[in-house]
Amino acid sequence: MKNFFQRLKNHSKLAFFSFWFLVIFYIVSFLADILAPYHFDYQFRDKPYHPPTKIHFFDTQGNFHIRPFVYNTVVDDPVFRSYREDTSKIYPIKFFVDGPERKILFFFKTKKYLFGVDKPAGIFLFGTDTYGRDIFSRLLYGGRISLSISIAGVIISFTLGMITGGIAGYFGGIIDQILMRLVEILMVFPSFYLMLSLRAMFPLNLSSIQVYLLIVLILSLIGWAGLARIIRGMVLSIKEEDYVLAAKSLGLSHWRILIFHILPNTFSYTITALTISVPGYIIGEAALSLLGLGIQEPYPSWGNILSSTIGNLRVLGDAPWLLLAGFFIFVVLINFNLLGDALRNVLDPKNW
Amino acid sequence: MEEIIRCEKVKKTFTVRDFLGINKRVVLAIDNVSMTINKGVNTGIVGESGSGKTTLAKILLLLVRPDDGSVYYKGTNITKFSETELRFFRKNVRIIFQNPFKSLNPRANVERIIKEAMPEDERKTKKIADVLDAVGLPQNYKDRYPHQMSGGERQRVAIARAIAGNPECIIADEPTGNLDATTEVYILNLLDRLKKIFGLTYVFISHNLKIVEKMCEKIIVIYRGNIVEQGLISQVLKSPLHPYTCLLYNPVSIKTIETVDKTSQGCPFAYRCSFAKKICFEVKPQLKEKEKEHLVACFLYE
Ligand SMILES: Nc1ncnc2c1ncn2[C@@H]1O[C@H](COP(=O)(O)OP(=O)(O)OP(=O)(O)O)[C@@H](O)[C@H]1O
Ligand SMILES: [Mg+2]
Repeated sequence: MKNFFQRLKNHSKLAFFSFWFLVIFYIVSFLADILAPYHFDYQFRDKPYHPPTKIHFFDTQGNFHIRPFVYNTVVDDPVFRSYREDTSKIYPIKFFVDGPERKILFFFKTKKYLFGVDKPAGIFLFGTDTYGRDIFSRLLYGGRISLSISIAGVIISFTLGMITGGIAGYFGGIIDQILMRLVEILMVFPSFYLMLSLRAMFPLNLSSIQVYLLIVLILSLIGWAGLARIIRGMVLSIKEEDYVLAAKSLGLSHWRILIFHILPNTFSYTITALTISVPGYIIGEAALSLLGLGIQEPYPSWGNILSSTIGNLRVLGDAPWLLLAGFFIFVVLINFNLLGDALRNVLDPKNW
Repeated sequence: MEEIIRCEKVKKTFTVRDFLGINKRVVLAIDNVSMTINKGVNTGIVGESGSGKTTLAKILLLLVRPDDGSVYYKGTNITKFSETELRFFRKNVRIIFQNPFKSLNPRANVERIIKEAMPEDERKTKKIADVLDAVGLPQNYKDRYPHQMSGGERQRVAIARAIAGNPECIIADEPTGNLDATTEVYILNLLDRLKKIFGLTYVFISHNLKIVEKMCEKIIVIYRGNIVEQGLISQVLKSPLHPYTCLLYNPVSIKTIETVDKTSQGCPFAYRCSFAKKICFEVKPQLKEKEKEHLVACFLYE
């Protein structure tokens, strides 16, 4: 494992950075409810489309405060919703402030928030949305959903793809025929329509956890078919290699040959395909959300945060911070692509 | 004499399709071959490139199932056995492949390659170190991957893999075919030493008669999938009978290098044979005993 990091670093500094960047992203989004200053559906009714809050060290008199603070804001122009800072009182940023009770890490109930400011002021690092909800908090919570959906989806569909492709290619004959026809049936549908029709098979009003699982299921069902097809082709050629015959001549079982001698030799392809396809799942979820079929409000996902923004033209000019979800999707996508390319080389013993 | 493997009238054809899969060409790789490998009698199989030596080896190991004919292991017909039923056979008969650059899994290190080759019940007690010692590889090679080793070293790993299961018979398919002359000598000496230590019986495949003479007691000459001559080394060496064997002994005497690709009903060698008579093109000669244990398939000796 230590070797792995060293190799990754030696191979490409950029990919090494991407790797840690993604690890941090995943950790942060997993800890979303600890880090977020507000619960994802907590609304500041008087502060919709609020721009990112300014954090101050100097008050109007020019005194330096060691503890950064914010001012409360009031609506300046109700039509264009511009805000003005009310500089009469400062609200220092505090740690472990009290707020409405919520569950963290799925189990623990608490009233404490990691950081925040006293009411009626708010600290909105990335601004607020139409309902006056803190975008920063929603992005954290949404990241948890989007990133975990993508990882779960990728893992399921790659496992499915490797198993079916491996079995079809290795055993051949009637098994191969059946599996590949099944794959082809899935592949003839354009994936977007397949996604929609799969979603349509289930009722609209599901609980959020059901929707979550359903999306993982749908996305992985779509992803595995093409992969199985490619893996099968690779297995067909690899199983003729001398080293596979050698494994057979040792009397190893079919499963051992398939799992330890054939499939690892498809990794140069699969590892890259795997990392490169992660963003596809985030976007797939976003596409479902855009049509209102994904994660439902008030639960946030990067997909539905973005989709609630698109189609709302004034946002582009007046509240560009609402597009940050798209930016995060983009950043994750780039990092996965960078990492994928490097991983292929790093995980190949030829380069050790 | 105790028999290890015997094959009877095995036949193997390959169908080669062209790119579009329209034109089919059937290659007869092994045609009606019967042979026996006896314990303690090292058997050499010689023949030029493409004569079907590797295919024959794979059939003897049932890595390729014959289209026709049977393979016996100690008298039991194992031709139709499943892989699970073949396990005891696989433990006792091992192969060293022709090309050490292809026969090792690029994603497995030496330790894993050898460990896998040991029967499960012996993995705990038997030491990888001993096996590495036996083939003369330093202990730290345990962690190496195939691409980190030279051809000779890889072939030693392949040999280590073959002996790790304590087999009684090893089929060595041109084990030095891809190696330089000095490495070749080293590997041959190694194989010779291992034979004595472990009491192995070799089936030694080669296109080089000199090597076969050195390593084996018995020789089988095959041409285009047919056995054309077989006998004890001493007999064949002293008096090679078949014109093809003579040609192998003395390659400069080749008159015509016609590689006629006709599938004649006659002797497969007739088109290249300087003694060919009319009958050679029409009837296929059968293997007949010329002297005790010395068989030849040629009309010159009828
Ligand atoms: N998988 C295959 N598909 C089609 N044809 C094959 C296949 N394997 C072998 N052949 C053909 O069978 C014949 C015998 O091949 P084989 O590999 O047994 O030769 P060989 O005696 O081992 O040659 P060499 O000394 O070059 O290794 C050749 O004509 C070859 O083209
Ligand atoms: Mg060969």
